[in-house]
Amino acid sequence: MQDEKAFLSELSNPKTQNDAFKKLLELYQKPLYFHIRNIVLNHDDTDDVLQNTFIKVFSNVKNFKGDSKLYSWMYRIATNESLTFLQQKAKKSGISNEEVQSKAINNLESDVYFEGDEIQLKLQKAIAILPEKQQLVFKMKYFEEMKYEEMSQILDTSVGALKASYHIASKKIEEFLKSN
Amino acid sequence: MKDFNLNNEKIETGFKVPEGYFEQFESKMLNQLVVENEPKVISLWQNKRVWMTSIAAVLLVSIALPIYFSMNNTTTNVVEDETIETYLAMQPVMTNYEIATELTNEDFASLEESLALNDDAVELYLEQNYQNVDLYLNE
Repeated sequence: MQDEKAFLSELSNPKTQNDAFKKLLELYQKPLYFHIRNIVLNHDDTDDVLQNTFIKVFSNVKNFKGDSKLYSWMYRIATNESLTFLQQKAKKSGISNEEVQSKAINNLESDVYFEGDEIQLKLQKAIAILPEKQQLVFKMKYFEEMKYEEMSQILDTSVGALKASYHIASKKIEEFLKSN
Repeated sequence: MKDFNLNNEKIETGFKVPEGYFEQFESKMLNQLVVENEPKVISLWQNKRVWMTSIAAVLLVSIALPIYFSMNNTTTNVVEDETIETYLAMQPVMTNYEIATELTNEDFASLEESLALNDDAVELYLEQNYQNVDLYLNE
C-alpha cells in the first residue's frame, strides 16, 4: 500500500471508513483466504475464520498504532484466528490438534473444493508430520511465496531462524515423499 | 516413486474456491459493517426513564444526607462524653489542698450559706458522730 498513514486515517474516519474497508477487502480477502485455507484446509472453516479475521480487523483498526505494516498485522490476526480455530475444534471433539489435521487431510479426498492429485495429497500428509511452526513457515514460503522479511514481521521470528526452519521442513518433506 | 526435490517442480495446493465466493464474501462483510455503523435509536421513553431516575437519585440523596449528618452528630456527642469521663477517671484524685487553692473567698462564703454551717449544726453533727465530743470542745 502506497501511503499507509493516509489509508489508516481513512479507515478511522467515519465518513471515509466504508470505502476504505471496501478497498481493504478487495486487496486482502484473496491472499488472506488462501493463507487461512492452507492452515485449516477446509473451505467452510476458512470462510468462518476469514469472517472472524475481518471483523477483528474492522473493530481493532482504530487501535492499530502503525508500529508494524498493516498487511503483516492482518496476517498475524488471520494466523492466530486459524490456530485458535483448530485448537477449539480439537477441544470440542476431544481429540488432539494432530488428529484434527489428519482428519482434515482425509476429508480432502472427498472435498469438492480440492482438486489435488495424488502428489498434492501426499504433500499435505508430509506437511502434517511437521511441528506447527515449521508447518506455518513451509506453507507461507512454498505455497504463498512470501518473502522472509515479510514472514519475519508476521511470525515475529528472525529471518535466519525462518530460513533454518524452512530448510529443515523441506528436507523432512522430501524424505517423506521419497519413502512413501 | 522417483527422487523428489521440492525446488525442481512446484506443487500447487489444489485448493479451489466456490464460484463467485469472493464477490459474495465482500458484500456480506460490507453489509455487516453498515449494520454495525448505523446509529442506535434511543427512544423518548428511555430518555424519560433516565431523567426520572436522576431526579429520584437527587431526592434520595437530599433526604438521606441530613439524616446521615444528624446521626453522625449524636454519635460524636456520645463519644465526647465518654472521652471526658475516661479522662476524668484517669486523672489522679484531687487533694484537699488542691481544692482549697482553687476556691476563692467568695466561694467559701457561698458554701457557708448553702451548707448552713452554723454553730448549732456543727454541735449536732459532732454529738451524733463522735462519743467524746468534749475532748474537742475548748469552751
